[in-house]
Amino acid sequence: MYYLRNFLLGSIFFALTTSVFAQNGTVIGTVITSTYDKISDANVYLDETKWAISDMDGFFEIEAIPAGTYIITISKVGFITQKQTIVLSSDETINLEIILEAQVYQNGTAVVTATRSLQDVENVPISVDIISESDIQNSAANSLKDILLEQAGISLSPGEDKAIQIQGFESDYTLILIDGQPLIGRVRGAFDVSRINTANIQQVEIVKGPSSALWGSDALAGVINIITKKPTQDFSGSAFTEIGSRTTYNGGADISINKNKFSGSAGFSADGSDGFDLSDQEFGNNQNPYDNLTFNSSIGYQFSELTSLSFTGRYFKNNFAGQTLASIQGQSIAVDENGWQDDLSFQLQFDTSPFSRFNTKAILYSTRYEDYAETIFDDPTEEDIINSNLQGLDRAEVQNNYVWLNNHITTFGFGATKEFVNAERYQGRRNQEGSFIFAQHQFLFGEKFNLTTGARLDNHSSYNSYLSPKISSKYDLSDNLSFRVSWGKGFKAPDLRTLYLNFDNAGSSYRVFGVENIGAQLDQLELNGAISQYFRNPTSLNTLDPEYSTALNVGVSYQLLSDQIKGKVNLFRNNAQNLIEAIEVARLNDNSGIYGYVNINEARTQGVEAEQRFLIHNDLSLTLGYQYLEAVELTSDTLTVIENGSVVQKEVSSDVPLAKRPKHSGSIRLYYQEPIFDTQISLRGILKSDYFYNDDNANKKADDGEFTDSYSIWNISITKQFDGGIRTQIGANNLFNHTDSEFLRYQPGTTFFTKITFEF
Amino acid sequence: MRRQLLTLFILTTIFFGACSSDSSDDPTFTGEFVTASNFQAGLNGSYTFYDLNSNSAVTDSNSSAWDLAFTDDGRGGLSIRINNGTSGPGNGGAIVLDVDINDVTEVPSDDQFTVDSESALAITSAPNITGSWFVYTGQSSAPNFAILPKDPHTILLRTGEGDYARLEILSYYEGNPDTSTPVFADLRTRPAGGFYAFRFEVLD
Repeated sequence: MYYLRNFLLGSIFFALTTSVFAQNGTVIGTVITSTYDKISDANVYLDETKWAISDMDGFFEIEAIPAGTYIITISKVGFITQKQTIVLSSDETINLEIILEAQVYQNGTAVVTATRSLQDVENVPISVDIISESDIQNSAANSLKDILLEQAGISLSPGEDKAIQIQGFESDYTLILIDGQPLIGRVRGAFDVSRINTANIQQVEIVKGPSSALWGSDALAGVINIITKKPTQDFSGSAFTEIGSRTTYNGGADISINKNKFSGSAGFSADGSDGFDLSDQEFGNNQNPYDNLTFNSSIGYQFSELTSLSFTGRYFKNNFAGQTLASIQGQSIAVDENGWQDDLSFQLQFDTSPFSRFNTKAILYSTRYEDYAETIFDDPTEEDIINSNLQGLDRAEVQNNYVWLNNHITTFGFGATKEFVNAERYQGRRNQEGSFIFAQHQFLFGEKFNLTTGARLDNHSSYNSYLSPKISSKYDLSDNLSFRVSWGKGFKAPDLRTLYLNFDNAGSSYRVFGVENIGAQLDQLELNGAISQYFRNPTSLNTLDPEYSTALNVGVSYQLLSDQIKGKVNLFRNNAQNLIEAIEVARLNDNSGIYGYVNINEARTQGVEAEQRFLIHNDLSLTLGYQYLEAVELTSDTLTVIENGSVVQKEVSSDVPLAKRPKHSGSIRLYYQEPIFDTQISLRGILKSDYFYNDDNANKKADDGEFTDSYSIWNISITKQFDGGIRTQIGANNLFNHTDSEFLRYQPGTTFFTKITFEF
Repeated sequence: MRRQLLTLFILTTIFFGACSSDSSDDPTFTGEFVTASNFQAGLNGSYTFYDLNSNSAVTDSNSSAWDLAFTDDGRGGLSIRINNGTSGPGNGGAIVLDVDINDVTEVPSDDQFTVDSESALAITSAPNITGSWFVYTGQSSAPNFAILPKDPHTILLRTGEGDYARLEILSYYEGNPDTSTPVFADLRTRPAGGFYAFRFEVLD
């Protein structure tokens, strides 16, 4: 290499080449922040052959460099990597002043979910999808549900209204975090993502594939981490209001300061709708009228450059009103049903760097979720039905990062969690305790290759402890082409139903018991002589293991024509085991069934995710997303057949397609900076192929009559920015009014809206 | 590959079945099915009786004329009895197979048939297990709490009079409804249970 480069550069002075070798140049420099603070421990690479580290004064020096043209790369964790080209002649000393910008959440360039430290999304070894603030702004989406839906790899589970699927797994298997801490309050395992108003969101990070090695339980299919806005300017604020069809409304305001050493913010948002009903024949609304209210606030104090303390709080409340059917003396009668759900969370975070290259973060997190529903009868002799459920989670955790001299990063942490649930259906209060420890090391081999290994051990009072490893790697073949490979395990703890359910309804022909209850219940029934037949060994029903998945993701990302064409493709395969299902474990003399939960099922999902962005013109960009998905459950059956004239039993295993998962999903996002009226037009499409909806005849096959139609939903919004921080938007969601009362129960018809935002 | 093997197996079975019946002059199934529909089971411990040969209901339980007896408790508890053992004076017997009815071409020897006993019925009343002819969907899969005939299944019967028959239950619900409709899924609009539809062919 030296020879070639020197040959090209110094061909005129060919005779002098030998002396160029003898008299080498030097590069010295200082690394500073934009406010002229010195940056120590920055790594300086010269064409990957030589490197140095900046000292306490930000100073570095690289000597004995042959004359030539070099790319010098300066990087430090927490800062945006800088590259410069230098031309060095022999005997020359070049003095550089290098300003590194701090890495912040901006335009979706930095992520925390991949490695638990804020890093450039281009550098992390796993593929992270980012929904940036401007994506949210342009779409004028009200809730997290609306923006997640516009991602190709995310589907809404058609049955469970507002729950999402990732890589073919139901909502139960995706961990939802807000600033790195889990949100609680799942209904039958499903997390209602419409609970999150977009108003305070800085960006949403989506990691697909198992991430339990960093994040623990529930991160089996992936993690969605909602990053909230932090005060960055001296004084800023905003207010917005939006109205739309069906009395849909959304409004809010916030204010934040960041001055001297103090920062703080406070804001609220309120949204709601009259709901909608797609079918007159079916009882009730597809969406009941509701009102949501969210408050959030934060206070922070910077004791020194190295030490800070912050406190954030969030409160959410949803009210709904509707009707339900109740059975009164054998008759179905419509009655009013009202209720609410709320959640509250606090997070106290202490950051410090006791010595160079080491920083530590201690977090106390506490959250509560409650839902309440009451069914009110006109008839005073009927007792009103009240269902309430209170859940809580408290967690203390410590996370440490150490950056080695060679820029390797070691992350390790530990913590403890207390959880409880208090609900009548779970016979009062139930407590759980857990603890965890995790460690991760990021190796850097030059600039092109990095490797991250990590593992986490979770201990828990209600299931057997679980170790989740993960290894991931990124290799840059060139500046425009990178490969990523990751292998890891993810797990999901048995949920509340599977542990504590005690469904023993006299009027129905079945009973369901969680593992904590079923032993005693079966013993009692056995004593009464009520059991006619066991389908399972009753002693095997008293414990559950976590469900887990082992997954491989292989991806490539590329850019062509200097950023104008940018894309990534990821192949994934998940093997899920120990999946928990309620099966009939015994039958009583009166022919009613007893259901219990067992680790029985295995499933496999595999497919391809791809995203392709075209910057057609400075004013026009097109982003296409695509997901191909195969999801099957692996079952084993004993069949009775006749062979050679005798009746024999044969073990047959087969793949049963998992329902409600479109094979092909697509997304289209077109963004146009229209010049005549100076507006921004954003058109987004969601496309789903036809899919197997339900095994209506229970034959474990996807029959012709069991498929839905394919469909697409289109949303448009037009934004005009005025001077003085005023932004107006109009738009329509579900532009072509596609509705389907049978299979798309959550999708309302066309919703027109208009929104005004004021920012200062 | 598995499918090809299965096809090969079926073809071989048919071939050998055909050979053996040719050589011994046994009667063979021709594929001419008789269909019965909306045959209502007796309620709350009472039974209704069906004779395949005459394709009609019979009332005299104390004879070998009937082949199948049905009862239902109205909440998903069902029993089907055959005319033998503890259930009747006839020569009945049954084998429940997980095989498509068109592929059941041979009749195994009599000792392979089960008869009703105190502890178990030849056609088991338990769902979802090996040897049962139906699936009970329960609470976890839609349509909920439905009794759906297994696909495939065939009940090989020895009738009360000792003839052989192959039989497939098509539906447990009145009017043999499409189970994929919202009307069926909704428990309030679902047709009544205990009304059997089945098709069968008697060897004679």
